[in-house]
Amino acid sequence: MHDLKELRLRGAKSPYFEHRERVCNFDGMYARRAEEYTGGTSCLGVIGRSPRHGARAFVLRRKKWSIVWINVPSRGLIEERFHLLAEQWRNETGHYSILARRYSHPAYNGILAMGPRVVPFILRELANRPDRWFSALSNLTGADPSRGSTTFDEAVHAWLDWGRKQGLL
Amino acid sequence: MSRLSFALESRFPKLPAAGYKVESKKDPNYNCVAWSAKRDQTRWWEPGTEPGFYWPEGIPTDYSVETFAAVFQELGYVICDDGRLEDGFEKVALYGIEGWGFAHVSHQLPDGSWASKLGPDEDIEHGSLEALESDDYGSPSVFLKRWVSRLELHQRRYSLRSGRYRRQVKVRIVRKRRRRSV
Repeated sequence: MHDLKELRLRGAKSPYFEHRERVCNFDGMYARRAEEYTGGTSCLGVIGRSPRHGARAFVLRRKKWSIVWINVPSRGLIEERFHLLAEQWRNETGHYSILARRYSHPAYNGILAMGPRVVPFILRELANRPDRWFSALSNLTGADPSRGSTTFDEAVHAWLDWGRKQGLL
Repeated sequence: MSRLSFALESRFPKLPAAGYKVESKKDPNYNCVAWSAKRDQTRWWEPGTEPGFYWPEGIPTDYSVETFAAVFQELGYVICDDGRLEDGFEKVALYGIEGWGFAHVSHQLPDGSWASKLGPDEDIEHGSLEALESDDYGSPSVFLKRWVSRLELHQRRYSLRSGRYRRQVKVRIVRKRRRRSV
């Protein structure tokens, strides 16, 4: 309690207990990342998730409470970055005749590097502007619902059905 | 369908000046190899296992221009010197890029112009091969030709979904009718 008071004195906007409810509603991503950043110490909670700057977390470090800034991009930022990269990929490689060449483009690899968090955005993109996202989706999800599809359109439908069943669309 | 999108046109700096005509809508089901090799509008001809992919048996699975030339040689084409119009022959031009390999293929039309499917985008007709020379497609590096019978040429003209020949036929019919009426 002493440490929490100290935090307040240091300029923390609100003490932890006032945010308890909000903290519980956040997903565990920030907390896990906070623990990683602080070397495995336990993270008590996360507050103030901001669309551009990630979040602040209360962590127990060397028997003292402290606030750490977690540089985890929010959903909005991930989506914004995904659309930028997807547009770049489409504009610069959309007319390529060989897909292997499209897949070696840095923007495509940038999307893959963003991890499974982009899967819902890819599925939405696939529904709005069908393109060759099958390989990326397979890599990111480990699933392959388009196996056995003989045409592009069949593969698109297979992935969209899969996305609906998974609750991602 | 008169022009390509600005973004796509800007990838081919020589194309607007050379002139082109858009002949189809975008279709991601087939690529330029499928279109030039067999007018195949159902499969994407490329080595790989993605949905809709097709690759002839016995052909290597790398992306060199020589490998794609082998696909056409398998279909009866032989290597030739250039893309000049030769009576009775249909030619294809393979574009290559240094450091990558095969990038694109165009096929010659009976009037000497060229037809290209721009990846999953539109089919276009362009007056010269230089029109598509760019950083993305490189330049034509290998030419192949195949003898085409007059019957096949005729069948091909009318089986093409291209509106060009249909328009030509329409014009001829209208002229004939006018002559008869006069």
